[in-house]
Amino acid sequence: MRRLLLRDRHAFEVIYDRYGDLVYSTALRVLRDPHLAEDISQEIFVRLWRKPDRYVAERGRFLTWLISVTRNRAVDEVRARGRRQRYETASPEEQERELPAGEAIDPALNAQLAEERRIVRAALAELPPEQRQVIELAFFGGLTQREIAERLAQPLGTVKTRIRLGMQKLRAHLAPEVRSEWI
Amino acid sequence: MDLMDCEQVKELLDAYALGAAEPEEVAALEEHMEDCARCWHSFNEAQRAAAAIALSTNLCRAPESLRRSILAEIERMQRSD
Repeated sequence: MRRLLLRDRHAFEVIYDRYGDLVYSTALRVLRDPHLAEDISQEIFVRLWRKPDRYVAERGRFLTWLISVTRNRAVDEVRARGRRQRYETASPEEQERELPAGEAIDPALNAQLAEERRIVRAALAELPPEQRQVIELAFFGGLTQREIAERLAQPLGTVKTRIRLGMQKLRAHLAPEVRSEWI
Repeated sequence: MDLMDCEQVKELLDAYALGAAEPEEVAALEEHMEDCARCWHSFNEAQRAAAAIALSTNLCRAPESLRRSILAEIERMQRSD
């Protein structure tokens, strides 16, 4: 990161090669449109090059920051375009199936990221479906708790409890592994 | 929204980290965290778990055109600097 602050292009390319697929995939999952996902990913990386000081190391890990920025930007785009309807109503399983086709990545290409993914997917799979559903609607669907309650026709209190319990379990599952520098 | 205490913030941190807090809650939360290192620390943990969720998604290879466009734009910016 220090080299990025000095406008070191090689350092930037290393960061892109490491995280480019993840940024693109995250944007794609939220936006469900390969062209838009490409535009947003480009915007994220160009912004990183122009203003690397936006990332403050003391405030957390780089990957966490990068993914949060990507997710938030993609959600803003979805909101601006008012294209949430279909996503909101699809179950997580349907959403997985409906993702635009992309070349799946050989996990061996990035062993560290692949291992990380395995752990997170296992942790999510262990959640009760109703907790996983509200968490995914929030993170990938960009819905607030109130919007989720309306969408699922559930009391707001129920949605809040599901989010809290689900995130609590997720944190507990991830804690031993994610303590490293992964995230 | 009125000022929040640590207990109220704790209740909302996960939703906030997921981007699911309501706008008025976000404003009150952020105001509280500006002065509360403990809640800020808890938020960082919640945010880390929330960001990890992105890893669960199907990983797709970003198109080669993305890399090219980004590097071309950076080159343009370097030239005009």
